[in-house]
Amino acid sequence: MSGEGAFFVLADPEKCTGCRACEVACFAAHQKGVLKTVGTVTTPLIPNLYLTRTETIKMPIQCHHCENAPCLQSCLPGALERKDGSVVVNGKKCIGCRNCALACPFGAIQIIGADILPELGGAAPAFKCDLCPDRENGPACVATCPNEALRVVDTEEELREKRIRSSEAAEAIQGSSKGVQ
Amino acid sequence: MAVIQIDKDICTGCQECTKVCPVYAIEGNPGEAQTLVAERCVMCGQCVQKCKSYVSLIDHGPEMYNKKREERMLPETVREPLFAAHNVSHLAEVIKALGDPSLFTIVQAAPAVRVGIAEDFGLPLGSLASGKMAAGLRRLGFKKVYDTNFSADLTIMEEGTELVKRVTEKGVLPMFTSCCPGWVRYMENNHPELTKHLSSCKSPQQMAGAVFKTYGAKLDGVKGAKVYNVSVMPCTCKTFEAARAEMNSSGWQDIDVVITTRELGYLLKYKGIDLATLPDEEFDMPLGEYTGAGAIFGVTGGVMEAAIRTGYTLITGKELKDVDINAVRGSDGFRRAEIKAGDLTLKVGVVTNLKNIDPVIEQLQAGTLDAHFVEVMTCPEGCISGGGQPKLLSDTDVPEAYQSRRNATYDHDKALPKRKSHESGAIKKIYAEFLEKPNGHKSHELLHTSYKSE
Repeated sequence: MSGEGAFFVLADPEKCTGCRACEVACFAAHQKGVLKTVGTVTTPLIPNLYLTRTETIKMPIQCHHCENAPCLQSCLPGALERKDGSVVVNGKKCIGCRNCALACPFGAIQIIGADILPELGGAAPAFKCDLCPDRENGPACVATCPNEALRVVDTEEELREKRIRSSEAAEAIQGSSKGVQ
Repeated sequence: MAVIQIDKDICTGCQECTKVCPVYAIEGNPGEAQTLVAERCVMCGQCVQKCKSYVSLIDHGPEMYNKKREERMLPETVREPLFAAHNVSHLAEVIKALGDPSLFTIVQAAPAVRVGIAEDFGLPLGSLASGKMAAGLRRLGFKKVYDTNFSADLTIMEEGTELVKRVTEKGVLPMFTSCCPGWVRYMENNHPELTKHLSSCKSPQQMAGAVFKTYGAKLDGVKGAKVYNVSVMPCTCKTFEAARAEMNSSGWQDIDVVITTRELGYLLKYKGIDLATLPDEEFDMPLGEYTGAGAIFGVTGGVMEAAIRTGYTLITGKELKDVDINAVRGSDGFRRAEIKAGDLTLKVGVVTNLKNIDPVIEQLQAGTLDAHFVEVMTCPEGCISGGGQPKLLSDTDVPEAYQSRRNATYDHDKALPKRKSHESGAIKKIYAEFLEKPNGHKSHELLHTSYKSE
């Protein structure tokens, strides 16, 4: 993946059933070593995406890897970095100041406090989507969603397609108006 | 009895469970907590495998996690995510029994457990862990580590003989297997008039239970009343089967408690035993001896294949040369095969996944099901995919897990010195010393059963 902020995972709320399979798969994909079954898990399940439910909508909220990302700009210790287009957290530098979580316009960053994750010994890192750079077939959430509600959006490609569609529409309108004359 | 539960505090109402439930036993509105209709549920636990709605530390908080773990009577060493759909655990009873010196604890583990259990200790999917499992069960303090595979061989002797009797004496045909308690319950609930088609054989778990408290107790020099039978199963419905009132032919409830493959993992970890690093050990003899035929009970088509290997000999008096019956392997919903055995062409069928049973039942009701013997397993690929098996974090790994467990099962069969149930030394011994003959008087007392509304 290349291009700053060109890719992110988008959920279709029409298809999402709120099953949390994306959260579980996301967590599993970010564990070190082979970890395929639930029984191998020894740490609390903290994903990098957040299923959000209102009365009418449910969908996972994920990082948009924004161009000129506000979270990255707000990160004082420089724990957020741009890697191959994605915004990723360097856990060693993160001090848990929550600036990034406040700056994020989508609510896609969660700071996990020591009350929830005492295993970290007081450190409180930011948890956010990194687009699963270690997975060959792209983000785990997209692969596992039983309803195909998630997809990786390539913003540059989408723009190109939209422009083509617009010009085709213009051409069609022009053609039909000529036919009327 | 409650075997499967859906926790209302955690269920998101996504209804993914309803898609896998073969009997439409889960009800509710989308987005609201679902309800399990206990009367319809066959307790297969496929909803337990599918459910991903977990106690979220972010949404529910750590207190809720601890509360749920306590409610479910799980040891504090359990740190894994807890999901809305779950089976009621009886692990605490096993821990208590292991600490009671007055009990003679005997454990059995089903064929599919050994190709699943190691997954929860970080070994690759489908790792065969027979020897490590035997060692682990011994480290836990069980007095005897016997095996369900032994009684799977015993089931074949009884069921094969029953089949031959039904075929030669014009009994009720086709005969259906009765090893799978979910399937038996489905028949009893929905088609009680057809239960006469079920084999009268108890499942391997129950045969083992009855034998361990009688013949086994005698071999071990203990009283049957002191024997406490623990069973480790890939299946959530086995708890229900063990608790059935009629399963007491030893003079006591034949199986005292059932835990799943996953719960055996909890128990080993609770006791600080790392299965992955244990050496291979043998099961206790003679009731831990088994053949390849017993081992393949864990996969769909396995009971049928095992039955053919021995049934051929029962019908023809000759030995089947090629024991790999590829025609009944695979995972199609309903597959048919014809096996030539002397003058008889044995017509068999294999149904996998209870979702595929209705067309077969319709044929049976219409009198058009042209078969002598039909195997039915409730779970998608037989017991290796049971509701109590290790649960995958991502469903994208499910096909690989099933394939690896299946391959490990067939490899195990191939590697065993004996691959036909009737060749087992332990089987010959139990008939010579105790049961006399398959389908004999003693067998009928201990190893056979009858069904509701037969």
